[in-house]
Amino acid sequence: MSYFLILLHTVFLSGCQNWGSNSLDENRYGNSSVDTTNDPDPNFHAAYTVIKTHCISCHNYHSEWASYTSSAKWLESNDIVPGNDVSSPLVNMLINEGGDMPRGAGSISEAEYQALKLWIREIPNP
Amino acid sequence: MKSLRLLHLLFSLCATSLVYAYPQFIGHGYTSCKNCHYSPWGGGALTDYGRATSGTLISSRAFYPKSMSEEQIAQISGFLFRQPKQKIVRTQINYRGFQLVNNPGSTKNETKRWINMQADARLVLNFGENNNFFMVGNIGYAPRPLGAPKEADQSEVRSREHYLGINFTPKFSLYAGLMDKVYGLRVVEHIAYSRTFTETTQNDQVHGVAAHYIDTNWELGVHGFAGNLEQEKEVQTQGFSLMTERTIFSEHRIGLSAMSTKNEFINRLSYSAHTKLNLHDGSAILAEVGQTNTKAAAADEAKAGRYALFQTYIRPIRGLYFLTNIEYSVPDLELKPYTVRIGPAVQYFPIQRMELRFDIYNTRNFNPESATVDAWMYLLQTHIWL
Repeated sequence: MSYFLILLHTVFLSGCQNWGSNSLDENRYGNSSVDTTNDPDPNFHAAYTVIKTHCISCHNYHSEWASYTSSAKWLESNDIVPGNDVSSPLVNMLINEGGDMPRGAGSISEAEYQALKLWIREIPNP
Repeated sequence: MKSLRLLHLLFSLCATSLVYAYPQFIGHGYTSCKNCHYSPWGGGALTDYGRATSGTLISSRAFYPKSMSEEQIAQISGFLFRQPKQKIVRTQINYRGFQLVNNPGSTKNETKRWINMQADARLVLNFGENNNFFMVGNIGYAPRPLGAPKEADQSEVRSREHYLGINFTPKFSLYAGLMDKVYGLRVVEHIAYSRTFTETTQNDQVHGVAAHYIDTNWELGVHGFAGNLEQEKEVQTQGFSLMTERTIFSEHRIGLSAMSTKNEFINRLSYSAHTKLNLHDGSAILAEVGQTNTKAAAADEAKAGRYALFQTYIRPIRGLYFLTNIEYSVPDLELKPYTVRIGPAVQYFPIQRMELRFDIYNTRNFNPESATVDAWMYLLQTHIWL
């Protein structure tokens, strides 16, 4: 029987999809998720903490936000516009800006709001 | 190597996954899932009795000739419409897909997509007297998870369950392998807050050992697990869960569940109470209320969220069910905002092996500090099993 189980595992299951609700727990709850070595942006860490606190619990399920652990990845996602916080969907969808995010929660604090805007504003527009 | 690939192909063709259950069938008098499923907590492989029941009780007989008896319908409920000629091997193939439309009618935000949710095969091997020893396995297509980053190497092949089961006595059974966590109502809607809060969605199976005891008026399940061993070790959720149900007034059920899990990053404690009420002739009410407390290891942050689920199933004629789904969620009890999701649905089983379903969901956020726009979506679902 054990031979059968080993065969079953080796042949059929190795390499199978293993994604679960917990797959991005390190990004959501760990404190080493921000890629500071490759992203020296001094404002990103504070902004990412805001995103992690208010956004990722839903956007991890519906999109890939928990994996955007550097400014470069956020730029690739088109959720932010470099140097332009007002035109960035990440900001203008906020309740603070008249949008409806985060859904099911209140507006984020003024300090958190400003941390997001500062981070985006300071990213050079190529 | 060629023979292994051939074996793999054969297994894939013959062997499934329907990790969904229909606890509302208490409306047909089934208080326990064990009658129809190999897993006593529902979902997954159907027993021969479960397959026959899906043909003779659940599905409409509008498309069968009047001369065809219920016994004849049951006789073609086996794999590929055949009655099994041996006791050992049972196979099943499943497909479930749907058209999902978000923000219907919105010129700016409407999105439509077809999702092949499941296309897989299941193999069950029965051994011993009265099939008291059995092996259940499934493998097949699963869509790439939406939350998975692009760089994550996620296959589109998945096994959602593979386990061994032993019925030591008619009342006591043990199961070992990859299974759903034993917790709460295993409703079909994997986006239900009762399943997302507790991480018991369609992709949250774990490796472990579960024990099940059933008596005349009650049953108990206990599950110890080491996480999904195919995942990275640091995110594997280890822990235990238990669920007990008791029959009340001879045809309804009430139940309690608890679950404690932990990995390197977060500890979770969930507990809930649920009920399944038999309204007769296939109609039923399901309800669950629960709470999940989380504590992140790194930040030492504790949070508690609460959810509620209320579903009604009304069966006007055989094969047809009108559903109402009402859900409530408070992600953080220290904050005031909460979310309510409501929606009607129609579920139709025109013939055995086929389910058609239409759901509408409205999600509304209640926040004393701001007003937000309602979210709407609908889905048209097809489910076929052979």
